[in-house]
Amino acid sequence: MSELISTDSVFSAESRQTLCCLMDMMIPVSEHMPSAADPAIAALVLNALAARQELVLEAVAVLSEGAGDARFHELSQLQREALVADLRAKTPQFISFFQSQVATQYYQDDRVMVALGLEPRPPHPGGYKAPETDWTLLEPVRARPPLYRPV
Amino acid sequence: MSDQPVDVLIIGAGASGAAMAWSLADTRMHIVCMEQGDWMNPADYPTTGKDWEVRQGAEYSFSPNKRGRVTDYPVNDDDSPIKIANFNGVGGGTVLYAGHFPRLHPSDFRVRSLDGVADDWPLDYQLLEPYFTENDRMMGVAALAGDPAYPPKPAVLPPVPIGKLGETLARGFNKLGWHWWPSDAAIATRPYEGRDQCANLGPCISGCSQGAKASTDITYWPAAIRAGVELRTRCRVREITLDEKGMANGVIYYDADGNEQFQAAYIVILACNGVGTPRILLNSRSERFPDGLANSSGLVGKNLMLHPYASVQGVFDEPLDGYIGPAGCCIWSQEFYETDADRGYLRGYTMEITRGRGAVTTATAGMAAGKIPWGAGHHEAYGQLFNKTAGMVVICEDLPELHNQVTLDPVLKDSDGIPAPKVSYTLSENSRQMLNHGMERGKEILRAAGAREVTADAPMAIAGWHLMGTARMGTDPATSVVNEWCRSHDVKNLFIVDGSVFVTSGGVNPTSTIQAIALYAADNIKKRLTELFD
Ligand SMILES: Cc1cc2nc3c(=O)[nH]c(=O)nc-3n(C[C@H](O)[C@H](O)[C@H](O)COP(=O)(O)OP(=O)(O)OC[C@H]3O[C@@H](n4cnc5c(N)ncnc54)[C@H](O)[C@@H]3O)c2cc1C
Repeated sequence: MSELISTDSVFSAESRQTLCCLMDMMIPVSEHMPSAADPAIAALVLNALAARQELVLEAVAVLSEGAGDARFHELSQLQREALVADLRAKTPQFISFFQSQVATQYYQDDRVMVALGLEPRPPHPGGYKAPETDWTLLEPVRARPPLYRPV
Repeated sequence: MSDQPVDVLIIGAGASGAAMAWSLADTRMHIVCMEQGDWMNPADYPTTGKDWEVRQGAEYSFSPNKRGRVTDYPVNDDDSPIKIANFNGVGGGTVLYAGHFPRLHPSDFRVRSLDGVADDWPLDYQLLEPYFTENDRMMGVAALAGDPAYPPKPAVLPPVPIGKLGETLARGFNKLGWHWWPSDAAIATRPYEGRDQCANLGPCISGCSQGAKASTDITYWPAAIRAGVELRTRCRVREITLDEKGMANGVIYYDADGNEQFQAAYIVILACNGVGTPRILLNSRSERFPDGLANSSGLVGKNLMLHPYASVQGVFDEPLDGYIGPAGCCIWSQEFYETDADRGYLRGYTMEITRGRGAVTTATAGMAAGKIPWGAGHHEAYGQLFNKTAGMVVICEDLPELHNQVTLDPVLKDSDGIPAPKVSYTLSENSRQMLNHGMERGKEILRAAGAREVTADAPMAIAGWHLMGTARMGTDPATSVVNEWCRSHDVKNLFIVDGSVFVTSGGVNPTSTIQAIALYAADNIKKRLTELFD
């Protein structure tokens, strides 16, 4: 996955691999939905993560250290999950920044929007058509005496 | 520098400043409005891009501290559980408001007589009625006539469609036998006075790209400018100056380049909202007014009311299409509006049903709340929330208390070096009880409507968007800042027409009433021109 991501990123290839692996752990592929580590989405996420490069690199360092001689993305799912749990405890700021950046890019992706039943476009100018309201629902309310307090 | 006085100088081009300017325009006086912000361009509003949810939380955030535009001023609200929200630009808060447009009720003006709390207003619903109606026409209010929670009132435009989400909740209200009605909305549901009709974009609170929501930059201002009012943007007023007789004679302000300027005026009208107005008055100190201008009562900045909000959310099994339609305008309930002492608190609240969250916000909020996990369960958990969440906000009447106040921060300043406001606010026991009651009743409705999971939270920290009470009106100069038609007791050519003049807050969004009062004050100025300063 990360091989496809442009190399002008502020993150090294190895950091990118770790981050993409994290993205995939957060939102994996499913029948109708891509993984958050899908190249088009991951490129945008990496770009957004660069806004807090230091925080991100610190987190990557924690994961690399935890992985020991191995690389984070080469670890088993269980091992990676244990390291992420540790990371959560150590830098909750990173987790909240990371997951908000991933979610932001992921849920703006055209394929994801379509899979959710949305049109892949901004609200304006197309807008949305609202159904006619069934005003007969108001009948019991109309039957009530005035609610406001006389003064 | 302009020593050449203008007849009327209005400070602030928001909800009230615009209404005042438009109404006074037919006097043919030389009217200038100074606004610290810019004109807005609807093509720039977030909903024109797929990243609207991100931009809504950044440069279009309703928190001035988060937004941090050069046209904003910072607010120190560390000492308040409810944080200040506003917008600074032509249209003021109406640029970002939801357009939920209830009027105060008749009982709101008589709280001392009816419930023995706070004070009665020196005016009443009946007096304001024609101004409410005129304002509804100018703003183009969508409503359905016949709401039993109000005395009869006209509907200018057809009501907003309530959608599947609104109908689902309406059934819940009906099951419980509780009041609901389509919300009065300052949103054009048909083409109106040059405005396009609402396209159901969803998030009105980051500005309306369609130009359907009645922000005053597209309602009152074009009409006022056509009638000869001059609106000067990027003019940030620091203080109001006085002549030797103690009359206001102009303002010192900073222009777009940060240069100090003076503009002379015969009449000065403050319309800077419940935080901006006391800030200017407190910054306008003189030998005659060492504690701030027009502050012989000591009440400038005091009695700040914010309307504590509760949020109640429910998750349903079926999709609700909550992204279709104005986010803050759907249906309301006034079932618990009037006082019932058996509930353990005085006064009451409105339930404002809100529409669903966007795709991104569903994910970020869901993960932050621990409802959407990482990994294999992510998609399923997300799918259970997205487009299936409905809810409401509970808007509680906030009673005036002296210790809830706006003062000047000793350190914090805006980009022109003007001392910034500091807000100190605590929730009263009455508000807590009311919030608790509102949360419980809100949950009941959601359950009755079929929600399988309900949550509630209060006070909503982000919801400091109704700013009232900090220069209140009254007939006694010892206990109020302005008289019943908004003229300062102390300075006879100084008027205040924004939410600062509220005596009590009611339990509804305030802008309709703020504007009705501004129109009423304008009418008084026009009628009394020959004896205005007596
Ligand atoms: C996100 C949000 C949602 C809201 N939703 C609703 C709603 O649904 N219904 C409702 O009734 N209300 C709502 N409100 C509140 C509504 O916006 C305000 O009640 C209303 O705008 C207040 O009107 P005003 O005239 O008192 O002040 P404002 O509209 O705030 O206008 C004040 C103006 O004064 C200018 N100003 C301040 N200081 C200076 C200075 N020193 N020099 C020059 N200019 C200055 C400001 O830039 C601003 O433009 C909402 C507000 C927000 C922020």
